[in-house]
Amino acid sequence: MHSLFLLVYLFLQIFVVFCSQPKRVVDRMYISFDRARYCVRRLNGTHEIGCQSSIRGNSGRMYMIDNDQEFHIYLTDKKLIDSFNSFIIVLNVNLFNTYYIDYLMKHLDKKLNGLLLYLKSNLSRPLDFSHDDQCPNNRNSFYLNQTEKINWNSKGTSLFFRSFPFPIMLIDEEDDYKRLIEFYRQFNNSQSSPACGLELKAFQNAAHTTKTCMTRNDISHSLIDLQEIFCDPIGGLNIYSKLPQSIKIKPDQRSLKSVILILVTTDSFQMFLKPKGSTGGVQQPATALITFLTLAHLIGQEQDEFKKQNKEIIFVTLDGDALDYSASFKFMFDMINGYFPIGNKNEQPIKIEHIHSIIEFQSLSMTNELWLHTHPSSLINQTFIDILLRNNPMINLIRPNSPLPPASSQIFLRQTLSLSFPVYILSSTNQNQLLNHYYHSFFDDPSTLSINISTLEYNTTTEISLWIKRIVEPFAQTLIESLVGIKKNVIIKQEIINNLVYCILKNINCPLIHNVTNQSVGNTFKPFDQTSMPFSINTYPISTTPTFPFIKYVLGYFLRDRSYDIQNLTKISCKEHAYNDSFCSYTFVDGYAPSIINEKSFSGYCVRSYLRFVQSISPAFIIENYDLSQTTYPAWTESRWTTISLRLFIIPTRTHEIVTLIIGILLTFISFCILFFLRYYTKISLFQPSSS
Amino acid sequence: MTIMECAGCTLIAYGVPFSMFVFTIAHHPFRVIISMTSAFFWLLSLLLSSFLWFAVVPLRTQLAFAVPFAVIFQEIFRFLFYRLIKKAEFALQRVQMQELTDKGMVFDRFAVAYASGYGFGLISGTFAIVNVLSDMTGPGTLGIFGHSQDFFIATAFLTLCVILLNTFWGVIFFTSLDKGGIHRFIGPGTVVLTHMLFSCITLVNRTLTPMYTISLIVGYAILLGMIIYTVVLRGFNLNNIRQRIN
Repeated sequence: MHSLFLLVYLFLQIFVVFCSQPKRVVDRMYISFDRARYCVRRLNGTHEIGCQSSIRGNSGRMYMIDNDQEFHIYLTDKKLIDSFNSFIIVLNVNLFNTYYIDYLMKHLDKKLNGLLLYLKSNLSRPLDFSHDDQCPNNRNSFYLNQTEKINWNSKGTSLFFRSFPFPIMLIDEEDDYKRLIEFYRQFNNSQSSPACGLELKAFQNAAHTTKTCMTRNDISHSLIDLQEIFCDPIGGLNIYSKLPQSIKIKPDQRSLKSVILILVTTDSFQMFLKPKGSTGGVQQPATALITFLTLAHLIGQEQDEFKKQNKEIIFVTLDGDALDYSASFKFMFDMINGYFPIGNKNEQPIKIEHIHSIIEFQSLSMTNELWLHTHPSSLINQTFIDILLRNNPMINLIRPNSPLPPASSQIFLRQTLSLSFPVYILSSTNQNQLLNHYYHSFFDDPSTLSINISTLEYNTTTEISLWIKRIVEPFAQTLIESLVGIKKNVIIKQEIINNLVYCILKNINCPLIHNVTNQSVGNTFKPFDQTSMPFSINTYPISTTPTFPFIKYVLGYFLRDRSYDIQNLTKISCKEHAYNDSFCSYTFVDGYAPSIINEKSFSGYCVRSYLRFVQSISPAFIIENYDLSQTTYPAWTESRWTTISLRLFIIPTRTHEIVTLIIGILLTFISFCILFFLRYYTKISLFQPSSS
Repeated sequence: MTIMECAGCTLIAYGVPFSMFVFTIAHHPFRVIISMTSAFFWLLSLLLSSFLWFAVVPLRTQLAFAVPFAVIFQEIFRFLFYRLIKKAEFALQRVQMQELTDKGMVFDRFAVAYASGYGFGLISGTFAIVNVLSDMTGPGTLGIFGHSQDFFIATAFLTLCVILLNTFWGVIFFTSLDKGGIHRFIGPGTVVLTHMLFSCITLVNRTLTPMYTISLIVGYAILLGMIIYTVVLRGFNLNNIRQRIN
């Protein structure tokens, strides 16, 4: 039926051009898979990593390999391999590791034109799927010159950091897989029948190294105004906030060791991206981020206690640490050069000597035990640790001076040679293992925390929210006990944690964010409705992401000056307060009910908060005349790309193609000869050149 | 790489017409002009057909409605072109014949009919095949939904058939009208009827398989018939042909 209909349509093209729908032959020739994940190219100072396709796409005969047995059958089938010029291997995602990929690349060499991975169903996920190094972030870390190297990510394949000359894509939707296998089985039965082919198109604009690419960006053709950009430096925003009570205005001197920094990262990476798809990053950094925000709320709740002592607690989020700690390098660079805190030149800068200690939340999964990593043993405050361990029996102390797991604190220690302040890292990572099987991969989604994302509601109490409450409350208690000196039981409403879990893991366009922002900012979240917070490599400000506005406004709200909650201010009086105070930001919002402790509720609240943010791209891109091939600072960039497509079709058999061409050539040649004969050997006037 | 297939199909469809162009039209500027103008007239007929299709909104999906009207419009414009040529001929004859003959511009009616048919055919065939050719340049070919792979070759041969048919239809049409008498009705009538038959075979083919062979056979049979009719019309018989060949 299809073929008849098609031919009728085509004949009609001869006589009438327009048809009711734009049905072209090409719609009957190709089947597109629009929801495939793809691998892109990234560059650093010395190398390029990732995948690249040719500009028209890489095509080849499709061959499906489902398991080890089929793999070896394929490689020994010399006849098949010789009969085609290029192959696209469709590989089960369980076989995506260095053994199989290296074997395939070595054996097929130039004939391997692309790789398509597939996941049969969500229930058949591989047990481990991590393509980061076995020792993550070891290029610029604290341990650059040390011999002891622990393989924290023992199942890591390092495939993310390799450069492939062909495109790699991944199908993770079950119905896409079913369609693919249906067509494959239909057409790949015998050698002679036409075979299925695939075309992968994922052309990346950038090449070679960051230095080359940034130089290319600067080339401007004087006649053309439009500048063509090939790659963007990675980075986002480092956001920091604290209780607004203690702001040091010049010429007030800041006392030494009076600032405590609490750190968390807000980015991750995955080898296979999808626009509007899950980005992973739940066990690192989402859980840590939710813990961080909850702690901020508790500190904000107990701000009257913290007023009684002179130390400032600054909450800092770092974006860009997944690749060689770019954000931490930038943060330390700012601190050393007097740019921290940024925003108001009358504020006394914070330098290294003012830092008391650093606390970091890193790689938190829902484990029964937590581990406290500390360094250096000479500077750590044993009292603090004792109080912490006493308040929360879940926490175990790792032997001091043990190697630190991948964490932003490593850079803070490195830049200060571990001589200035101690770091305390709270993590689910034990002495030698990250307990995350899907570290830095898109499989690191809420199901790994036993959350059923489809039934998750705004106020559902999940195991993870209960777990976070059990961690954060003792931690806040410890801070109060060690800084203020009193023992106080602090409680946070479960609802707040539930709301954070929902917003960050399911729908960032949630009531919480609308309650803590004004209307125009709230509207910027509408395009991201029903999507979770993305945890991937950011190229701010080129890529728009809701992450930074969310963290800014939620963090600022949680640490707000609560004395304003009981004042019934109008929008105009809130603005007036803003004119008089240049160190804090004032916004007029609806108010987030679970956070307000007030019998009377007002229609709107004026929020006074201390909030700063600064770009977190590596100092390599900021320092004048910095040679990007140096390795002092990381210099990661992400390539730009235009279209990504994956198509399935039938490859014509070689005989068919050749026969068509030969018939065409013969027909032309024969007609040429006949007409030539008619011109020169007959007197038919039509063929003679002279008459009109 | 179906670049080979694309090249092959282009050669099949345009190989013969290209040779025809080189040996019969290229050396004669007048014939070139006639072909181009004739092609333009075909485009006008297509424009009118599409207006009609666009205007009759409920029947846009019914192919059976649009096809006969397209044929009728094409033939009307062929006739209009004939009228135009007649006027040109009349105007040319008023100018001194000697001057033009020296320059090589003799008004050969047969050649003009031939060139006009050729122009019509060329543009008609191009519209048929150009979209298909551009779709052919990708890495794949038809077949994933079960269509036959011979589709492209069949389209190319059919386009060749259309181009040649149009050439002969042009000759028959103009020569019959010039002859006058009973031929004024038989000639154009045959052209319109065979054209309608050719186009409507496609609609009838909706119920038959394999459809390529049937349409191709019908198309080339009609072509053979038209060639014979042309030869008869021009008054060739065996003696004449022997004379011409020597």
